[in-house]
Amino acid sequence: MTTMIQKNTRKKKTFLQRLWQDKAFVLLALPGIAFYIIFHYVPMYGVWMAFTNYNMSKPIILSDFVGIKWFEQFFNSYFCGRLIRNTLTISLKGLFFSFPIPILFAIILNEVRHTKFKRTVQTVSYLPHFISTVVAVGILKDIFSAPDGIINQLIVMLGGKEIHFFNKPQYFHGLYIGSGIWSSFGWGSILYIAAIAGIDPQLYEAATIDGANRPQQIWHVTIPGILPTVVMMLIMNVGSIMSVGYEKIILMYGPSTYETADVISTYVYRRGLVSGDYSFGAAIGLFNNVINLILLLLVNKISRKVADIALW
Amino acid sequence: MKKVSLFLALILALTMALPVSLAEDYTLPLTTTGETLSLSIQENFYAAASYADNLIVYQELEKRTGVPIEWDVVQNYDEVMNIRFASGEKLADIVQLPGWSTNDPVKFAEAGKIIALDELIEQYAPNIKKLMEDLPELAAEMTSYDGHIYFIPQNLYGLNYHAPYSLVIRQDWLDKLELETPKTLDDWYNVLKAFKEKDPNGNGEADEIPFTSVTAGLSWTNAYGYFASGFGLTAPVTGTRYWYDENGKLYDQYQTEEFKEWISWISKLYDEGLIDPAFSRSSGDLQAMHLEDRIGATAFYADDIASWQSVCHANGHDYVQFTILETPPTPEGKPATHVMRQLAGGRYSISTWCENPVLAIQWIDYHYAHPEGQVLMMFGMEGTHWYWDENGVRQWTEYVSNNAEGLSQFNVLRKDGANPAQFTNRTEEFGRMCVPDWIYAQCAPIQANLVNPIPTLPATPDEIDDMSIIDTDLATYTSETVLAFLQGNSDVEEEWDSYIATMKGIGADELLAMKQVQYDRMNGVEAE
Repeated sequence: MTTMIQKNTRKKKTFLQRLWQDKAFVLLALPGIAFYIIFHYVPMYGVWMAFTNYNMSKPIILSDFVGIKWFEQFFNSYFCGRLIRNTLTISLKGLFFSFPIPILFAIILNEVRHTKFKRTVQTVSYLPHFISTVVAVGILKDIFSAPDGIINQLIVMLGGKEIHFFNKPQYFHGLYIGSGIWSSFGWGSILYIAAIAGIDPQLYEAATIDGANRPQQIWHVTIPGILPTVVMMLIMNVGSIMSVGYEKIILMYGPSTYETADVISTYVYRRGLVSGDYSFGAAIGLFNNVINLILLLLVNKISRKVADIALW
Repeated sequence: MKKVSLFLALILALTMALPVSLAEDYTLPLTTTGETLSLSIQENFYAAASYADNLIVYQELEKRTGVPIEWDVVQNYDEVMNIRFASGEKLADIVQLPGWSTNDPVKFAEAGKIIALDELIEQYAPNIKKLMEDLPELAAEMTSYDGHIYFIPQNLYGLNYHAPYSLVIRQDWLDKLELETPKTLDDWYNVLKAFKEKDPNGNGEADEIPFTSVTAGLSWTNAYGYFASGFGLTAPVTGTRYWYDENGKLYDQYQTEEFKEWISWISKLYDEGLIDPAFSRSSGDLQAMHLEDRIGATAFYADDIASWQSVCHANGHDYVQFTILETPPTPEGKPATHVMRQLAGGRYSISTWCENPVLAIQWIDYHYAHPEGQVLMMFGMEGTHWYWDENGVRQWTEYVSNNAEGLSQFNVLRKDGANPAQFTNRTEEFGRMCVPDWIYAQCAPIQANLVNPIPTLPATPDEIDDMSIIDTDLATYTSETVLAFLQGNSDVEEEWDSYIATMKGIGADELLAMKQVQYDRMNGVEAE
């Protein structure tokens, strides 16, 4: 009789029962989940706009279907190749140059013994992040202007001829990416500083005992310690390669620099977001997002195979 | 019998109850019931005084018309209003259309957002009707491709005519170097060369910039375009790409031999250092450089040239004198075609939510086109802003012309709500009063060459669809290629054929054909 009662106490719990068991956590997560469902998943139906000729008299679902017309228009555009080329170039160059800098900065800062100096440097390094794009570009234009900007005065003083940086396509990438690094490296290094702080100090002690000097410790302890963070940040950055934002570029470019500065988003902007060409914008946005998604999945897979680190 | 008399009595009662406004003209106040109108517009150009505060000129308007205004002043106007239009929200009684002058009002009307104004103007707005008869170009601007009127536009004619965008030169430099005012292209070449080499600002350094331009790009503010009249093109050729010949046929000026010649001439000047190496600068920069005596000549709005001169004088540079010049004729002596700025800009419509469109059109008619109402809105109030002088000529008061806080004329008016963007009507009188007498005198000879621009061509939605992609690509290609030619980064002689071929490849000819259709439609020519 007693054996029969004991039989089912380890019965497998259903999903709902497990949810109920963890109800406190579920409740905590609920607002976040609801936010994502309402503001990110539900509006996805709007992507239908990319396949229709949306105008304001009919709701999105009922607007005239045009199939892939906007995609055809975009790919048939004379500048399509150049736009994609510039978008990818700016993103990849940006990634190549600006990705390592916060990491290096975090590692070097970690080596500083003097805490007060370290804190001051860290705080000063974040300040550019808070300067708005418009102000930052204004300062940039001022510094590089001809003939009165500081840089040109220096060039002339050293015997050279003044350079009109904002009128020449070859300087655009340097200016854009350089100013981007200036704005973001401090803020971006916070994550890595936190990751470095999370490395077990006993590993450093073990390395010292094994006879490693400082650089060797950095190479063998610090870097492997933050590698998972670095790879995850890299994967996430790859996921926004096609989405070079137009705001900063518009502030910095002009017809003389279209050759290297005109990207997909600035072209769509000129095409007329202000006059309500929502469908065209939606179509290009969709194209960008699909490419980003494919790249993201690809890099995640490669990373899992090669380094056993992945976002999922 | 009883039925007939009842019927007659009813008719009598109705005609007595009908408001006076059914007749051609109306009387003030428009209403005594305190009925309000709501108005959605963008913020005052003089940002420190918001329309939402019901500025004094509008208070006076309210007193006269009896209509209080519910203000809906919107920041980031186009973005916000496009969304409101798209989302089906209730709109104000009178709305500024988003997209300034490049929107499609027929689209808004078909979507049920705004109403057609033809009937209302015909029956209730005698002054607007008269304005349309006096200025047929304005009437053409107002009429959409389906033949109806959906908005009331700004009328910028007065200032465009009396203070056109024109070439301007430092007269004191000409005097110092004993040079004649340049008339032909060769004159200009010699004068600019003298500016470069003979040190007119007298500081011993060759830091003069003989000629520059305000604002970059290829819009009509590009000063270099004003020399194109010397080649038989319109001045400015930048900003008036398509022009018409004597048969009413449109042609693309950017594909002509004359255009190539103009490019060669400008790039030669650039090569020799007679043109600003930076090519163009902001107007703030130019003002600063005037104070340093570095700029010889450029092109700008005549009324702003006046303020350049007064700022220089106010800063102790009394010797600075600007002279406004005619754009050059061709070597054969054909006079210049100097194209004025667009006649109309912002557009204002009555929405379908307006419960009393008759009141709305009368309110608009009064302060936009009625002789007294228009004076109130543009010039402000008698005594405060203007007065009649002994010759019966209207003059600004000291408060406006010599404002104690240092505000410009426009800004003083705007501070009090006058000279607004919405329903602005710049008559010739306004144009005359807005520029100092010396500018007015200098601009007079230029007026002989002024012509109206081609109005914004009304396009059907299908045409817009087809045109959009060609238009963006063509504009991108043209602006960067022509700029490269002008700045000498690309040789125009070598690259000309490939430039033409590429434009044809993008669709320049199709675009021209579409524009011809729209141009004909606008002029009432039957399609073949």
